[in-house]
Amino acid sequence: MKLMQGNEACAAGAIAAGCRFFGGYPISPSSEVAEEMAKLLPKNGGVFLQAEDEMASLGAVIGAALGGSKAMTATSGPGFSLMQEHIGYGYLAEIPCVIVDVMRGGPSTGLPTAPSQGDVMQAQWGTHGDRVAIALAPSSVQEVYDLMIQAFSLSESLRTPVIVLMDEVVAHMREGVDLTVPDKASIARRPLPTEPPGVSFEPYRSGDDLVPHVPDFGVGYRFHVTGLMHDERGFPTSNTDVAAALLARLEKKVHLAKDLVAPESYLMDDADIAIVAYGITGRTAKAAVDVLRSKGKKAGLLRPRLLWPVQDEMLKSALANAEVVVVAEMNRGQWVREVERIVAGDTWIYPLLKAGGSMITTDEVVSHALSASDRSSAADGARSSRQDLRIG
Amino acid sequence: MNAEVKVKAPTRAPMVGAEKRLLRHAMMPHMLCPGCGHGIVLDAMLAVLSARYDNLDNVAFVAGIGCSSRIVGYIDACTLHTTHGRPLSFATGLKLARPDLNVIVVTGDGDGVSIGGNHLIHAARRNIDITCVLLNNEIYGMTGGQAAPTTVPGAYTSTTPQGNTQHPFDVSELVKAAGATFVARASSYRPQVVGDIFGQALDHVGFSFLEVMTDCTEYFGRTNRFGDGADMLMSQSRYDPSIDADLASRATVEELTNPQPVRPVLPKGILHRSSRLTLEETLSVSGGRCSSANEIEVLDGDTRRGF
Amino acid sequence: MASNQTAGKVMTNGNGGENMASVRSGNLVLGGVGGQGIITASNTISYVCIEAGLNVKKSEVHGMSQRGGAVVSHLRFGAEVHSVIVEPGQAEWILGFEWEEGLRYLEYLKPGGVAFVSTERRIPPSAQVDRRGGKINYPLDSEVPVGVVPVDTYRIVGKAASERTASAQTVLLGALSVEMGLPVELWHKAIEATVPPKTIKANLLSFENGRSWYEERKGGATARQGASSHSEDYPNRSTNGNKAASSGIKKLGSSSEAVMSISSWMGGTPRVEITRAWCKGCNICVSVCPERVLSIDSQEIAVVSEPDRCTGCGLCARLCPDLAIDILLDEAANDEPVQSLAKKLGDNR
Repeated sequence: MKLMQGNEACAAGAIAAGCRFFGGYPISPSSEVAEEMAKLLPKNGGVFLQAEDEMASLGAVIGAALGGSKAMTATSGPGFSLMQEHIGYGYLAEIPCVIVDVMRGGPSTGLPTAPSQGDVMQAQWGTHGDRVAIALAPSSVQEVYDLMIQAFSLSESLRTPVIVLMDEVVAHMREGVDLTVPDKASIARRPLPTEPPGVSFEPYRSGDDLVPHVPDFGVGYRFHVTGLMHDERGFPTSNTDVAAALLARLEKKVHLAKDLVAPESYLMDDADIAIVAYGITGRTAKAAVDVLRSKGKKAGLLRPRLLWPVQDEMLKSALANAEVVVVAEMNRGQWVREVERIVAGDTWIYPLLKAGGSMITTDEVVSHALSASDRSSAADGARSSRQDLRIG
Repeated sequence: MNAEVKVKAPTRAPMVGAEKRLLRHAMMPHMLCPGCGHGIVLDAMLAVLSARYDNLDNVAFVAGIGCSSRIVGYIDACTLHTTHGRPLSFATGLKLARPDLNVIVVTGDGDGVSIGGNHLIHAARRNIDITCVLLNNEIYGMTGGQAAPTTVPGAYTSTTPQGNTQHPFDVSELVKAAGATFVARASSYRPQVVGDIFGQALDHVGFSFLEVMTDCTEYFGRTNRFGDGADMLMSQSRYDPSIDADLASRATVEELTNPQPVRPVLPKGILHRSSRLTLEETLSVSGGRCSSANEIEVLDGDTRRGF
Repeated sequence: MASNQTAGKVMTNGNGGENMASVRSGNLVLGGVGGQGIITASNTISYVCIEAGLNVKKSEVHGMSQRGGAVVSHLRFGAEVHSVIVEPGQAEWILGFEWEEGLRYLEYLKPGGVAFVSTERRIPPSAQVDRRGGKINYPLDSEVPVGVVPVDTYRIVGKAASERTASAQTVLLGALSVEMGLPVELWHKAIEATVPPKTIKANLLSFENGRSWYEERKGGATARQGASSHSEDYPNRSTNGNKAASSGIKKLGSSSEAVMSISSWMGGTPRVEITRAWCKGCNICVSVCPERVLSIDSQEIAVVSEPDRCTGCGLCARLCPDLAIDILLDEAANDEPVQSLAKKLGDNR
């Protein structure tokens, strides 16, 4: 065990996962990831590049990934906005890479050093066009380390950018971390082509695994990589059928991630009050569950580690028996929309939303859950309009 | 001629055109307009590469968005068609991950100097060992002939219907000032010179920058009544009147009101050459340290060391 | 009158100079590209000499050079002149109206003579390919040879581009007049009599600019060593860039040989082949072919209409934006046409 900061654990996890390239631009509150990588990468045979801006950061990361490196960048809200075009590029061109976004208060420059969970929707919808994101949300320093390793695994095995959404609290909190290096076999590596180079080789053709076996640059294959809609040869096409099929495959491929990341489920088996929270709010909520249980309330916590793509089936079944669902997040209501979409009509949803730069406290979760439970009983099972609690 | 002496089955050794073996023939003909100078530059570059390489397995072309950038799609190499303005950033990552690759960036004046200007000057500053070929046709061709940061004063474009009033960049001077260690300019009118300088740029260790003046016939030429591709090509042979004069002295009011814009005649040749440590050297990455084989080896070590 | 003062100054300089006082005989070679006013300039000089009471003889080779070809004029003056041709090594002065064309005639220069060579460069497309060796056949950045005074005519004229072209070459006459030392009013009179009337004013100004530029340069040059002053006059080289540029030229030649590698083609007949599916009919190949081998057909695609004329220079292929042209070598058993081709090329220069 070692006492370290979330941002440091992020770098350590990346190194353990085999990341050997970092391109980044300084921005609070993610800068320590870059600083740590600048120390670690040269010792581990990797390359650290401080780029001229966030577009260049992710551009360099994609370039390095094409060269064969496991590569990542780390940023925060404003930089994350700038990266959106390249995230879309990485998705369409199927480049494995990891993007860490340490969420801070926004919009605009906002609250550079205050916590937020306000980039959740941007992680999925920030890019133009139809893209399905993979976004992970750790809630402890240990989990930052573990999820970084998993992020690289997902990114490599599915050949797609993976976003790790940290909030400022997780990023700057210090906790003991078990830095066990995972078994090498468990660290996924991008699938390599089995077909030899030649005119018939099609880098973007995929089999049942939906993942094309695109070779790295400079290993004997000559091929084209583009951000344009492309056919299986990788060449641009304006054929609408080909484009539609490509988009459908990419979506299907990324949805495979749903089965690969398990949520944390705490006392959910008999829970009447289900609290759904992620990131640092998940830990607050977990404490609230204990308080509620001590008050005789059957409360439970469902903490998704994978925010995107949304694990519909998992949410549906996990929340099926709850009378009340409290969704707590540090924004004006983002991921709660997904929960509503999935369980609306089956149960009542009580969002607990707090934006403006301070954390949701255990007391706030407890009192909101209690009042939600009371209103739920008073309404006697009838569906009433949503009761939001917006703090701040 | 003696009719008795029958010509034997002709051998068809290409005298000019052997470089076309490096094209992706399935993609040809290319999508450039008739007379577009970019195609000439493509051929000139291929001629150099053809003389050097049996195949382009270890040559990576990285391009941005625009007419210029599309030419890489026709080259049978590892080709990366990136986002608008960012090819140099992709190339930087690629080169650092794979220092053994010969990385060549093809960009245009809008791509490289306008939206990608920041990456251009930083690549020059870092002196990363890649070659950047910027095709300057003084206009945005692909989007329909809008003014570029290189458009000369007075020129008509679809966004300067009264004539351009903005001052253009001298791209080579910009890159030189940013610290590039090899800066050259050539014109598509002299593909042989383009090829010769391109070869020297490839040989150069450090950031080598080659600006090639080319002709956009369909937009720049037509809108400004410069004639067809052949006319524009010939116009590049004009005398270069002020080799040392900067653009500022030429953008006079007189020229702004001139109904026939004067295309800049800029100094050609190798404009600057110097030597200093490359980015790879300063980062001590040489010999493919980031290759996948290497990574496993590193993972065997204790990653906790140094914590 | 300003001109009188100028004239007086010149005479003073001339009398005070070592060999300058009223040159009474001399040989000149003027070289340039058709359309630059070489013939006009030689007429002007002749006029000056005649007005000064001297015997003048001049000849010129222009022929088909009206636009872009080489033009040369020999001019001799003195008390009595018999032959019109200047012998190699006998010209006191050379006027080069174009960089390469000026350097071309250096063999005519007398030791100690002065060659005023404009830095204007007009590189014809055909200079890209020496038809035999595949080298670039133009002194792009070569050293300034001994005896050559590079003259940045356009900069010295210093006016808008539209006015420059009419009068830039008169700068050379201004510089020459300093060396020849004949009365300046004769030069003015000669210019007025020989240039197109609309351009008299501009030409007189250019003449004076050239004259004062060279007087200034001469004055300064005595303080410096000759060669080092060249870098200032020949403006695309800084002292630093000089080495790079000249070493670059060496590489240029060698790499171009590697690229072209066409020296072996003399063993066969060159043939143009056009990939019709790639050609977009831009007309560039038709325009640049020195032998008029190509034309555009009714489908707006380039075709080889005169295959026998092809010399295999490769211009069309190199300048084809569609990469649609190849030059192939048909190796023939009968080498008779090849020999005639070689002969033809040998005569080319």
